[in-house]
Amino acid sequence: MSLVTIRTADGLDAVLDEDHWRTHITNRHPQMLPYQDLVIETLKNPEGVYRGRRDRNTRIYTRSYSKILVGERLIEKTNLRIFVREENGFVATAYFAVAELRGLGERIWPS
Amino acid sequence: MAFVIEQRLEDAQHEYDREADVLYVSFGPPRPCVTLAVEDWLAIQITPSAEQLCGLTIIGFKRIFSRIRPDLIENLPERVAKLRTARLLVQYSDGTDTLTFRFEEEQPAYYERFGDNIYLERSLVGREIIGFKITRYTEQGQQAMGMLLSSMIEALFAAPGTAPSPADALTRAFLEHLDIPRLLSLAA
Repeated sequence: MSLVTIRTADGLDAVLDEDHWRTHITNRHPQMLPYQDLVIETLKNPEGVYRGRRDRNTRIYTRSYSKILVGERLIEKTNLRIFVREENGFVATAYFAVAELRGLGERIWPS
Repeated sequence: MAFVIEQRLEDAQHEYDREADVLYVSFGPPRPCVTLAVEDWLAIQITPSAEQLCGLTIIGFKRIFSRIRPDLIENLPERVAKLRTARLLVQYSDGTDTLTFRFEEEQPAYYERFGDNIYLERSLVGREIIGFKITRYTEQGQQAMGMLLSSMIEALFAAPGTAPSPADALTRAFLEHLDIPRLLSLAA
């Protein structure tokens, strides 16, 4: 098992487990496969960090990106969202959002 | 702009990631998709061309649903099995500027007004909700979808003892189908 620990902008030690990245996150969201570096960048330098509306122990790191290739389609503008367990820093999942119905909840960083 | 999207979900699969408490439901083999974030805990994946539903992701699945719908956790395999028999049909008509969404086979039904331009479709037998339609879709479709989804989510998280509303019935109908429908129309 290979673990990458990333000190996030809001002071959490996020843990990106390589096995978990491969067998769960990118297995179910294959568009994320080439973008582990953006995940790390977003954890270090997010535009915002939010607390989950329904699960208060989840922190959501967001950063916008442009010209992201998803399969063969170039997405002009998208928002990377990364979900981290607060109690142990575990990176649960990540995806590129192209639209959102309801905004994120309480912003905890920058406060 | 008229279109018909039909998708059968016989290849629905699910995977619960216990370590992360994330539920993934997929339709067909994994493929690159984009995400529509319905809520911060609920995301729907569609193909970039918005023609097919790829799956859905529920983040914090057990932590959230153990409080509000433990039956959904207990019956997950059966629900996914039922999902495999579902058929989604999304249809837009230029002539009437109406979006119709149905997640059961067509059957004798009637419409019940849900909002200004939103109508629930109920089966004559059993009065189950089998779909809905949105009129004046070009100008008010997105707003109507927002209202539908917000009502359902509010119903899902309503305090115990809250009087049932049509949104409860709609929420139950969607949960019976594991919440998957409708987002195709958002992407359309």
